[in-house]
Formats: sequence, C-alpha cells, structure tokens
Amino acid sequence: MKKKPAPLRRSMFMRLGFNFYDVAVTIFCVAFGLLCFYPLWYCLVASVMPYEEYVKGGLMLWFKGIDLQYYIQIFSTKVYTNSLLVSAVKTVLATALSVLVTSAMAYAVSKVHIRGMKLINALVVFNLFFAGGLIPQYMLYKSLHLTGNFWVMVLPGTLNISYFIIMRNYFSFSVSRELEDAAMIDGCNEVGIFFRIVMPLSRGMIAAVTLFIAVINWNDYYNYMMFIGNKTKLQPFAWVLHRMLTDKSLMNQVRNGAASLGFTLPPPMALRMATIICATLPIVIIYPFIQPYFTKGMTLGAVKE
Amino acid sequence: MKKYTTLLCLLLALVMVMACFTGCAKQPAQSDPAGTTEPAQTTDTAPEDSSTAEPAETRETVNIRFAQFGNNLDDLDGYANDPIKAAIEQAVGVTLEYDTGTDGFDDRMQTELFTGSAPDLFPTWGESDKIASWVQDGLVTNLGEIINAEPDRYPTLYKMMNSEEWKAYNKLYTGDETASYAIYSVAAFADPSFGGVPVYNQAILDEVNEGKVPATVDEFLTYCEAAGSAGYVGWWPRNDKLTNWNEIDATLALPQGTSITVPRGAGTGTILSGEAGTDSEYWTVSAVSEQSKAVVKQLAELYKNGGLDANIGVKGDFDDAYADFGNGTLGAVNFGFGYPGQFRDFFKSAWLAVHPDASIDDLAVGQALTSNGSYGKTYSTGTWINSHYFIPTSCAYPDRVLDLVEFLASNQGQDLLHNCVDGAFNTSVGSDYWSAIDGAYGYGDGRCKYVWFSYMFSGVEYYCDFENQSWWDAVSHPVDFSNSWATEEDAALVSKAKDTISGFVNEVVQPLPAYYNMVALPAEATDIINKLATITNEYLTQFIGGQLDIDASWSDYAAAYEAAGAAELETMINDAVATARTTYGG
Amino acid sequence: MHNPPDASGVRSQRTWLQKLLAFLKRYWFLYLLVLPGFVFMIVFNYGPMYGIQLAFKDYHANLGIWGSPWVGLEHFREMIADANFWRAAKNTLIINGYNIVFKTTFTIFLALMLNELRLKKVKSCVQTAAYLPYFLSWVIFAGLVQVFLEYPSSSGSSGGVINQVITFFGGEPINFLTRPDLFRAIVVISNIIKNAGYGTIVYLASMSTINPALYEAAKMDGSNRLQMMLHITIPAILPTIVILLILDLSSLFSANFDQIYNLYNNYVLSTGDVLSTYIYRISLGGGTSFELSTAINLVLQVLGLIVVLITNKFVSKLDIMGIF
Repeated sequence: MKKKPAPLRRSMFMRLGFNFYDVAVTIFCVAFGLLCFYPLWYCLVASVMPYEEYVKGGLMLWFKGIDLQYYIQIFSTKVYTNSLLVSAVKTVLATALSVLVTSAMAYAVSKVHIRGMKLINALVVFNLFFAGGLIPQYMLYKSLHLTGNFWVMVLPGTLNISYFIIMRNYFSFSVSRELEDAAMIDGCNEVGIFFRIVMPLSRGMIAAVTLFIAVINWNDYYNYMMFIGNKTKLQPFAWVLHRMLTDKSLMNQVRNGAASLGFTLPPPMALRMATIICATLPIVIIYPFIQPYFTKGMTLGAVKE
Repeated sequence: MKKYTTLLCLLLALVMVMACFTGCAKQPAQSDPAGTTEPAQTTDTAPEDSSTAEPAETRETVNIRFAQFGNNLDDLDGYANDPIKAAIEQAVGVTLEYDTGTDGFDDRMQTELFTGSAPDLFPTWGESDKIASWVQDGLVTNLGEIINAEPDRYPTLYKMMNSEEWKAYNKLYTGDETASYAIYSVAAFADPSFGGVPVYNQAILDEVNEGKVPATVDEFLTYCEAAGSAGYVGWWPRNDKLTNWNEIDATLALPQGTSITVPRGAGTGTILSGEAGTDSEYWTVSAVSEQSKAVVKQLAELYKNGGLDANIGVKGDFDDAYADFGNGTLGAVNFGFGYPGQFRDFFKSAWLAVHPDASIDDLAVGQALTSNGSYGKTYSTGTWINSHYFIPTSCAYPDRVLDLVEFLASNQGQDLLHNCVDGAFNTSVGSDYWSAIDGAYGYGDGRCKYVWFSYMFSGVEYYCDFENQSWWDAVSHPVDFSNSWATEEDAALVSKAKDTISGFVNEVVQPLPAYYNMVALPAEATDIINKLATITNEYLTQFIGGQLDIDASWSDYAAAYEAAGAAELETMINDAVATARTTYGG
Repeated sequence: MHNPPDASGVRSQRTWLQKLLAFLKRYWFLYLLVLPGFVFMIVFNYGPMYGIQLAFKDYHANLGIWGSPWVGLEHFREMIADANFWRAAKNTLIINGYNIVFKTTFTIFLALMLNELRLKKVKSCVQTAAYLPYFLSWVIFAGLVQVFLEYPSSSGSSGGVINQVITFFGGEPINFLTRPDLFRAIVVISNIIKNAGYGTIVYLASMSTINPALYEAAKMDGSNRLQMMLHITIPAILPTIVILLILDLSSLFSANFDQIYNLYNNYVLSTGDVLSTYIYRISLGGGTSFELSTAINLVLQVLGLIVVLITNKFVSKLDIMGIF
C-alpha cells in the first residue's frame, strides 16, 4: 500500500522512516534472535567439530574444521533412514486428518447460537482435564485392533482439544456474523460460506495450527512406545532420537558401527548433537515455506469487502 | 471456482464417511470393559492341553514371542539371518519373535499382562509382593504343574524345579513349594568382584604421589587433595548426580567401619554386629551415626579443596565426568560395580577412545583402602535373584514355551547361547561366524553371548551346566567364556583388573550364610526406604556442597531419619533376617 | 445450493416437524462438520475414561477395572500423608505460576516487537531463529544450560560463559546450579528462551487478521506506533491471549517434567522438586502403582479444572469468550 506523507509535527527521523523506537525494537529482536539461535548453532558446530577440537570444549562459536563423520555414521545406520520415512508418512497423515477434523468441528461449534453446539463444546473441553489412563486405553486400542498397528500413531490424537479451543475462538471472533449474513443474502449457503469465505479468511490461522500439529506429530513417540513397542519398521524418528538420547544400546550400536567404519569411538554428546541436527533439519527446511502464511496479512481482500 | 468447491466438499465428505466407519465399527468393542477378565479365566484350562503328550515331531509349529529388557531390533537383516535364532527354532519346532525395549518397557509389559496380551515369555525384576499379586490375580502360569506332569518331556527343568533350593524360592514367593510360577534367574559372578575400587590416572599419580597407588584412607585423601592443588580434580566417584552413594560408601565409608548410604537391607547401609549366622547377628542402620558424620566431613573437605569436582552432583557421570578423565584432568574415578570386565570397557571407552596410542599402563587399578590396618567389609552371599521369567496365562501353549525353555537349559542350548564359537554350529559356518553375529547385534564391547535369552538362568549372562550340576551349583558357579575368545588386548585388561582385585578381595568380601537370599522385607519397608533415600540425597549433597553446616545440621538429619521410620526399618530388617534364619537356616 | 435464508415471518405458522426439517435443511452442513470430530472424541477420549475410577479402587487385573473392589479415599490419604508431596505441590504451583506469568508476558511482548519490526528480512531471520530452540529436546537444552552455567573447577577450567563474564568484570563466580534460591529463575529463563519464540506464532497469526484499515485510520488521527499498538493490536489479540492463558492455567499443576528432570539435582530439591519429578521418583522405587498415580493425576486435573472455571467466569465478565 502507498505511504501517506507524514504530518509535519513529526521529527526528522520519522520522516526518514526510522526512529529510536524502530532501533530499540530491532536491537531487542536481533538480540533475542541471536540468543535463541546460539543453542542450535552450538549443536551444529559441535557435531561437525573434529574430535581433537571437540574434547577441548569451549563455546563452539565457529567451525574449526569440518568433519562429517557423525552424519556418515548416522546415515549408515539403517534404522535412521527407515524411521525418517515412517515419521514423514505418519506426520502428513495425522496432521491432515487432525487439522481437517479439528478445524471443521471448531468452526461448527463456534456457532454457539445453533442448538446443541454449546453442549458439544462442553463435552470437548471437558477432555482437556480428564483422561482414562493407560490400561483402559490399551484395552480400547486392542479391541480396535490398533495395537501393533501403524494407525495407532495416527488416529487417537485426531481431535486436538487445545487447538480446537483456539480455532473455535478464532472463528467466532474473526469471522463476523455480518459477513456471513451478507454472504447469505448473496445466495451462499452454509457450505458455500465455509469453503468460500471462512476457509480463505482463516488461512493464516490454519497454517499456524497445521505447523503446530505437524510438529506435535513429528515429535510424538509415546503411542509407538506403549502400543507398538517392538516393530522395527514402524519406529518413528522421534523414538529413534529419544533412544539416542537416553538409551545406551542404540548409542553403542552407532558408536560401534563407527568403530567398524574405521572412526575413533565418537563421544556420545557429539553424536547426540548430530542426531538433534538431523531431527531439526526437516522442520527448519519446511518452515520458511509455511512462514509467509501466518506473518503476512493474508486476509486483506476478504475483510475489506 | 464452483467445481473446486464441489471437489473439496466431496473430499471432505469422503473423509468424514471413512472416519465415521472406523468410528462406528470400533465403537461397540470398547464398551466391554469386562473383557479384561476373560484371558485370566479361560487360561486356567491351558495346562490340561499340555497333558496330551504328543511326540515333538508332530507338534504344530507355534510362534513364541519372547521379551527381554534393553536389547534392540534395529538390524532387521541381521535378525532375519540370525543363525542362532534359526538353530533354536529348528531344535524346538517353533518360530521366535523377539520383543524388547528400554524406556517404557516395564510399563508396557505390565499393561500387556493386565490386558491379556503379554509376550509368551517375559521378565520382571524380583519384587516378591508383585509376583504374589500376579499369582493371586491368575495372570501367570504355574510352570511346576506342567513340568511335574511330564518329567520325560522336560528332564532338565524337572530336575531344576525339584531341587531343594528352587522349592525354597517357591515357598518364599507363593507359600507353596511345588507351585513354581517363574523361571528364577540367579546372579553370581564367575570371578570375585565388588565395587568401590577407583582407577587412577598413572601420570597424575606420578606427578603428585610419586607413582604410588593409595592403600589407606588417609593416603587416598592426601592424594585427592594433592591432585586438587596441582590443578587437577582428585576423585570422581560414580554417583549419578549424587543420588547413588554406594560407590562413595564402598571406597571411603566401609573401610572406616560405617556406611553412609541409604539402608536397603542387610549389608547395604547397615553394619553387622554379632556373628553372622547366629542369634547374635544384628544389623544397625548407620547412615546418621557419628562415624558417618566423620566420613561426610571428609567428603565436604575434599569438595572444598578440589579433591572432588565443584560440579559433582550437577554433571552426569558418563558424558561429562568420564570425558574429563579422558582429558587427563581427573586423578581417580570409580568406573563401575567392580566387574573386571568393566575395567576393560572403561579403559576402552573413556581412555583409549581419546588416546589412540594408549597403553595399558596409563591407568592403575586401585587397592581397596584400609583404615587402621583393616579393610572395609562388603557382605554378600555371592548370589542373588536377578529377575524372573513368566509365561502369562493368556499364552495358549505354555507347554510349547516350556519346550523352548527346556532346550535353552540343556547343555546344547546353553552352548548355543554362550559358547558357540567352539560349538558344532561354528564349524559349519566358518571362521567369520562371530563377526556376523557381532554385526547383527552391535555388541563389540567384548561379550560373546547371544543377546537374547542370555539372562534367563544366570543374571550375569554366564553359562550354566544344569545337566551335570544341581540347579543351585550351576547358577552359583556359572562359567565365563569371554576371555577364551577375547582379543589379546581385552584379555590383558581383564586380567590386570582381576589380578589386582584378587590380592585383597578375600579380605573385603565377607560371605553371608545362604539364607540371606531368602530375606524378604515387608511391603511397608519399600516406602520407608524411598523416604530415607530422599532424605539422604538431600542432606548429604548439601553437607558436601557446603550449603548446610555438618556440625549444626547433623542432628536435623538424624531427626529426619527417625521421623521417616529408620528405627522401624531396622527392626523389619532384623526380623526378616531372623525369620529367614529360622526357616531356611538349617 | 441456492435456498434463500428463512424469512422469520413464516416460521410461526409451521408445525414442529416442518420447523425441524427447515432447521436441518439450513444447518445440516454444520452438524456434518461436527460429526467426525464427535466420533473421534467419543471413541478415543471418552472411550477410556472409565479408567478414572481406579483412583478409588484396588486394582486386580483378573477382576477388570469395573470388578475391582472399591477402597474409597485410601489412595488419596496415602498421597497427602507425605510431606514431600506438599513441598512438591508448592514448588509446582510457584514454578508454573512464574512460568505462566513471565513466559506469557514475554511471549506477547516479543510478538508485539516482531510485529513492529519494519525490516522484513531481519524480521523473518529473527523469527526463524527464535523458533529454533523449541526443537531441541530438554536433554540437550538442559545440557547446554549446564555448560553455560558451569562453575570453575580446580582442574583449570574457567567455567561456563556466564561465570567467565562475571570473573571478567571482577565478580566472584557463582555455582548457579547448586543454589536453591536461583533454581526457579534458571527454570523460568531457560523456558522463555526455549519456548517464547515458538509461542509467538499464534499471536502473530492472530495479528495478521487485524484489518489494516484500522491502522490507516489511526495514523490519520495522528496516533504514533506505540499508541496504535496499545489501542489496536493488543485489544485485537486479547481473545487469543486469554485463551492461551487459560490453556496454560489448565496445566498449572502438572509441570513440565522434562525440563525440571534434566535441570534439577539434589542441591535444589527444596525449591525445584515438582510433582511430576516427585511422582517419577516414588514410582521408580516402589514399582508402578496405577491406582496411586491415577489418584494424583485426578487431583491435579480437578484442581486445574477449578482454576480454569474461575478464570473463565472472570473472563466472561470481561465480555471475552472463554473456553466453555
């Protein structure tokens, strides 16, 4: 949009389009950004640091030579590559299903004036506080033939209560009744309103929620751990990562694999850092593609009508 | 645009219908919580099936799911081509499915057991009240009944289960000496060993202690402080962020005639007065005694003077502290629980990994320390129950599972598991045999055992000869073959540790009568022990770190112990010992 | 696809059946949207919920959950008899209270600052950087916190970067992780660094829906950017703030186990031991007791529900939609 000329009483700096306020904001944001960037940077530098340098410790501010041995070790361990695939499939399926079901329900329930929606809302929110526990859960999944089954990592979390609440409130606030009524007069029915007005209007929020739910699914391993447990081919990456961080047997497996590849026995911490980088990489790569959806005002056109 | 909308609409509808079907079809099933009872009830009939004796060849091949803690199934190829698994399957006429895990494993096993879907053979650690409740709830199969019905089919197991010692355990767990609900796994080391012996960095010994390994408590303290003032850290006892006091206890407190660790039973955190095996024996909780106070003062002094790392209790053992040792900044560490093999592992992972041209003489295995000329006493019967393997009542063919156990208990099976380098199996495969197994299971750390089933009879993973020995003799004198095939370097490391330890182990390890294996503390004792553990962790850590003044707050520590029931625990321990003595002592 | 909206004048003359049909004709699609979520909720959320009764029962697997005998409040008595339970409850409340107050405030502040940032390239870099720590697990992140806060030891190491800075300016190094009085601050600050950036996403998404015309109009009125932030941006995201706050409050009693477990040690138990770590420690020693852990969780959930209900009541007085 075109900038309006600044009123006269503003200062020189303001007319230049930059002032102390901006400087303070920028400094604050950049400082916090650096603070947040550093831990992952530390992991990255430590994970490619040649061994002699690594054991000296230090703050890992910059590379002192690059040695990709840990990554070679990790990717020569078959369990890693397979689990990446499992995680990708599981994350896509579970996220798509979850976002679809949760947002559809949230939209409908946001219309509290319609009979029954308040009751349904209360029924959903109640679940935020109570859960049955492991044994009844196991029996349920067993009777649904979900134990030991890939789908146990996809189906149970479909309705996400927290994001249901966030989206429901979002719909009830940002999609005004007037807008819908106007659309209704234009000849749209509820179906039309949902697909042609509400959904485009909410792209930013849906993108954000999709990212959140995708990250939850990417990081989840509990259902694998409890309800599958021993199916190597179904291990999600988050589980492999968790084992790498806590379970000595996988660590030893990779370390000994390294020894057989002719590397010196790697220090566990450096190997963990490399694993972390591998786990974070997909999200870091995908993220910039999603970011524009929830940082730019995507709803400009729709609201201005 | 309209087309697009219709398409989306159809897609959404399809998803909903699908979701609906999955939901509807499955919904009724979950509303039957009474289903839990079924597995337990129906399986009471299972033992009857086994009485129909059929020759092994005609038996149908069944799939047996076997669970063991702490392995992995990551290498699917190695697992599919596993020759030992194939040999077992062929010998028993079954197919094997392995199940394992570390995190969440116990929870999953228990949940599966409670819901009638447990593996056909699975382990648990031996808490007697847990076993009793499983038996009472009808969750686990009475193995004794099946085995005693067919002695010819299970000759080895029959012999084992009818030995006096086995029956005694039956009685301890269920009150009935013929009812055997588990395969008991007993731990006994093939070589003498105990904890509390540090390993020293020889270079630092040379620099600050004229190369001499400390032999007394005083010498040790002097060495640690000297190392501290020379720009090193004196000592890193293995301590799991100061929650595990056993190593510190064994190194420093026991030689001085006290025990600072949490009392957990006879010989752990308790000091013996009177003579073991007689009416005069009495175990005193010593954590808050004056002698313990003196030891804690020594530790606080060490902490202040650099004898202990300033970050002890914050840093982890394996990653941080052992890396420091590798860097040459630590004077001494406790490296394990006193297995000679652990010295080998420690040398390789913490030292050799950092110093590729290291020699065995870089590290010195320490002495057990003495104080006023006497060693600390470590009490042990030499054997203890490690874990139990159960067959759940939900298993449809417990007799076939016992066929498997019978085979594994036979010398042929034990040989296959523990020693097949020299076994017939090896010759047909060739000399590369072990490297294949090694690759498949990822244990290059000097173990030659097959990783599955290895704990089933012997808690230390050694070979047991059940055919020629009684059950108790076999499990209390297991055979360790690892050094017979180890590399020269590995063997040298193990024998270095063994040689050092054997010089004083007989002075240190005091045998207790066998009935100490039968000491069962009541369930309330566990609660008290947990409370005492929290108290000890908190007070001792703050005493050592200087947050609490020892002279001023020691009485608070003692009072907290009293309030948590230390005296009751002492009574419980001595009562349990007395009961075991009168029942099994003869 | 082209049915006109109901004209309300005709309504009164219809029978109830006609009314229902008309209602369904008008709204069938909304009920269809609810259906899948409803089915999933009934099956997967309500399906296992009968398990809560374990808190009042002595569980025997052969009798099932329904068949096991009732023991009344015994598990609850067991729970409140332990002094460490109360200390852990107090710490949980304090740490989570701090966490909610400071983290929420900071997250909102950060989101506002990011929204104000005018250099687009810098903004997107900072955003990306700020999300990164979220993806490090606490095992790693706590490890890094320990590295940065390390105390100099006698072996010549100069300690972590914080202590190096302190000694550079002539101060005495601080053994941060052994100080009970500093532990909660460490928890809260590390939580902010790890999660605040990620938390801004929802706020930024909700800011993106603010009508730019509002800012234009304010500019015409001569408002400066600070005033616009106070009078346009914050009111617009207030519903989001409230809803996230309530969601945070719902877990006021169940603390972030991973963070505390990886950061705490015996020196700081007095201020750092929370309920989740307490439960973890007792269940390690005494075997797993489903009944006791169900009972403790039930209490925490009920307390969470009460807090949320109170907040919700308060919030609806402000004319903002709560969670019910």
